[in-house]
Amino acid sequence: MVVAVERLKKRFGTIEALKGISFEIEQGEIFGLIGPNGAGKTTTLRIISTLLKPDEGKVEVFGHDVLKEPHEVRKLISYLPEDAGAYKELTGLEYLKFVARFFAKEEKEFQAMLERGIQIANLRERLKSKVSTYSKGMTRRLLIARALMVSPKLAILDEPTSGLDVLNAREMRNIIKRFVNEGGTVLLSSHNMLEVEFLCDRIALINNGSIVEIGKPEELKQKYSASNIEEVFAEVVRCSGTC
Amino acid sequence: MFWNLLKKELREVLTVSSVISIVAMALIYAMIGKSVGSMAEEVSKKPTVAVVNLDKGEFSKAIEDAVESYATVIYKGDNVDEAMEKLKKNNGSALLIVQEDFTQKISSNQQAKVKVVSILKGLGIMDTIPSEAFKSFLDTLKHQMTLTLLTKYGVENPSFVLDPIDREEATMYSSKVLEGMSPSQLLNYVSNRWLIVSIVVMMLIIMSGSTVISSLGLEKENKTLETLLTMPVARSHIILAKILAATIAGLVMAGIYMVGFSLYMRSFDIPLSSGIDFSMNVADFALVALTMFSALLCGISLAMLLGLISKDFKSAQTLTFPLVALAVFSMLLTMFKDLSTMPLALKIVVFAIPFTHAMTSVRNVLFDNYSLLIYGSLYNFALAAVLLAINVKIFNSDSLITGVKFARRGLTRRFTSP
Repeated sequence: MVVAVERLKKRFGTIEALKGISFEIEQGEIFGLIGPNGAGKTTTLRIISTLLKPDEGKVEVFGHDVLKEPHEVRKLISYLPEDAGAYKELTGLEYLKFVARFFAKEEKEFQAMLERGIQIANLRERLKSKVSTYSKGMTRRLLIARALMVSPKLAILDEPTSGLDVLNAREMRNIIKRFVNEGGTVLLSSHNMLEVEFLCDRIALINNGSIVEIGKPEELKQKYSASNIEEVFAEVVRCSGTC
Repeated sequence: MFWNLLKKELREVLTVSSVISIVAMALIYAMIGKSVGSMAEEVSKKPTVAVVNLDKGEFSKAIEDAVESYATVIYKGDNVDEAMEKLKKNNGSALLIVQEDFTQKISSNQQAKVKVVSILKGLGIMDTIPSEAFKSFLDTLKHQMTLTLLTKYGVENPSFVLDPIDREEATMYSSKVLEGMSPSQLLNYVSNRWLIVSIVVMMLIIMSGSTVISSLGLEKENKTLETLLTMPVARSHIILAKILAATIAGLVMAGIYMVGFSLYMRSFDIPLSSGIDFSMNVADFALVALTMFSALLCGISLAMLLGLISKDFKSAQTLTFPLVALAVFSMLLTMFKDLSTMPLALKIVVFAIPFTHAMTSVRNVLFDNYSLLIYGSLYNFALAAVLLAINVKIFNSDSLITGVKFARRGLTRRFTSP
């Protein structure tokens, strides 16, 4: 088991962001959290990536409790926040080197990570330019490269293609698929239902802090007699708790 | 791993543009200092004057001779226009006109008249020095004339009659008696040095503080902090790297700034006439350095706290205001009042501002006020420890991501968005 989330609850003041959600992620799968804005997707990802502490419930990553062993969890994961940027005073290459130094134990491993990062980013000569000169698409490519080059056991990607044009988004999806084919596991969030349908092996539909449905996209489409996940989601939310 | 973080922080804070702007500012100060010249040199320079003597009598001749021995006289004659012309051409500073009945009036026991036309080339402090120096010379001349007249009227010891009391200056401050020094001389001497120290401290705090606040604001805005916090790196290393980078950046920037500022201040430095030794020994320097370090640590810790509650780069920029306000408040208050003469409430407030102790450190060392310096430093270190502990607590809590909560009149507000 890569991730085990059990009755996870999280409050922000009077707002109950997560109301006791549970799910599991298997090795080598792409697991998608789908839901509207404010449903609790980012909060769930932040807890799994040790940024936030759970109020109740249990979260384990490869058997390590995120509350008790956060440092062990951080060695195994790579987190890409939504709309993230990179250090503007560094060049793309310097940024990759900066990140690789935290994960590589020896020079050989460092060089291998760097090679992989350069390959995924595919920014050629522009990798030597400062990040401040990059377009949004170029920055996102660099960040995806940063997240995947360290070969994490689990990549946590929050809205990985948000703000990208069609071609860039397509390439990002291919990169994520390749990463999983090479043995990685991905947990991603998105409100782009079509993207999720294309990418994910299993999905969890989250609404108002609760997981309202979980399963393989094909199974869910069949269950709700829907032609795509968007329709499934609409149906699930419409009759949430009543159907 | 720590070096990796520090290197990145330094790259982010010590940018070419920030260094260039500080170097430019230092160059401007140095250039002003150089163009203004030295005040001491200016005071010792002979003024260039013109004398229009319309009298030609015995007393006016004596005045003419005395002026010649004191100043560079570029014109001697009886034409005012010609004299003015010559003064303009030679960059002169004053015109002395001795009225035509000068000797006759003095001889007949009437007040005689001389007219002084001061030529000001500007309204700056340095521009008025030659004219002021010439005016004080004329006062001496008046004194000399009085002596001559007293002798003429048969006074036996005219110098004694004019100055029967010998005044000896001494000033007592902080149980230290300074022989041969007036309070204004002491104030002038201490203020010049104090101002430099205060500016250094203020620049250090502002430079390092705004570096930390901006760096955190930028990290939050770009979500690079979120990324960094999920990497296998100790959070204490992240805090330490930020503090160290800000300290280095602050020292470099304040150092560059101070080179220019000290060149500027050198122009206004007037050498002390009394032979009192105000030198500092190694222990004094060590104490001053320790106090400065403690103030810097407090400033950076406070800045980090402000940076942590900032939402983005823009709000971080605004949050530098409390830090600057504290530094300026402390500097201005200690400029107008000594800590020992302040009312108790104000004394507590000023003592509580950590920058006060660094700003007054040189003054305290010069007047052996070591207890205040040591207590001040201890307070600063204790305050820095508390502030750092709060920073670490925030760094290890959800608040870093979700924002710091402030309860006010029953309302709960979040300073940063979740």
